[in-house]
Amino acid sequence: MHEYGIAKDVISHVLVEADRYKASEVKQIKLDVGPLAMVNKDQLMFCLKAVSKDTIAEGMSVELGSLPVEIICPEKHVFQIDKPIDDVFRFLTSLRCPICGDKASIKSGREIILKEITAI
Amino acid sequence: MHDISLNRDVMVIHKALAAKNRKLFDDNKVFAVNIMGAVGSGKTALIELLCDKMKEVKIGVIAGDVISEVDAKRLRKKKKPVVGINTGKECHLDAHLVDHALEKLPLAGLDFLFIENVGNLICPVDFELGSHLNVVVVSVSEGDDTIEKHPAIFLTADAALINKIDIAKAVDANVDKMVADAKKINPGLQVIPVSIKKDVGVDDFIRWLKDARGKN
Repeated sequence: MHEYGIAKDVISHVLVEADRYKASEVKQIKLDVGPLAMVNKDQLMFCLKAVSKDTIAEGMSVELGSLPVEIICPEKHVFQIDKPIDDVFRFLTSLRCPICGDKASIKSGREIILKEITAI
Repeated sequence: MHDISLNRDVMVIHKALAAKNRKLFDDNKVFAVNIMGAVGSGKTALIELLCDKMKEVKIGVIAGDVISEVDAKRLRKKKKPVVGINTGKECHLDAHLVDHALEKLPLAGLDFLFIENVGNLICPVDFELGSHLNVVVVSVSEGDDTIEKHPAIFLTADAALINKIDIAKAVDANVDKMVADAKKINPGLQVIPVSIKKDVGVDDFIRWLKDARGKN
């Protein structure tokens, strides 16, 4: 369950930033998770709750968003995928550049971005 | 009220540490191999056999385990420098843990560093360690559908060893199917059927390893 490790990283960033602003309570965070990050969102939410317990982030609300997926081919054609990816593995194993037909790789879509923290 | 705008990729710190580890390996001319696979697939047995067979090169080992020193103790019997890492609640090694292990390992003078990951076919995929190669050990006794059920790890790996082929019949596993599944997921994957216990096919893996090191 790598969601636990990710949650630990997120909370550690949140607490460092909250401390920098001398905040006493974290009210909300906005977190964008790439569709290819292979994160189970329910597990991530559970882990965020567990890891933030007994910290100033306990009880905060978490707004989960998504991120665009971009692929790139050896010819450096970049292509954004607009439709939702239902089957990530099929998507990853059949990646082709729509322009030249070459085998493409992932340019973005695996990131986990801590976008915003609201604290008092 | 503070609205703190960050836009920070929380995985970046892992990637930065992985790059730092890679630089350390390269500066010391050490070829690092991340060995992944399920619990009981044969990761420790593989490293033991590599220590026995690759006498002409200097080998170091990082042995990752959840809580015990069992694997590290087994590997220390091979008289090689071994550092054990306990991940506690974590199901994978990450670049940070490897970074700390490297503080205890005399890298200078080593040719190969084998990093035994925690027994898991899922989570290690997302955590780069800085290794030059990623190898997966999968055994026939896990079921011959294991590869098609865990595509992500085979997609990002450089080689897959299909282990325990000597008992394939007994566990009703089709090795050819496993090879085909792995190739279908990742056509560039080096797939080598082996029996680590019976020392079958491991020489092919060693040849491939040395070749990969030569190309680096």
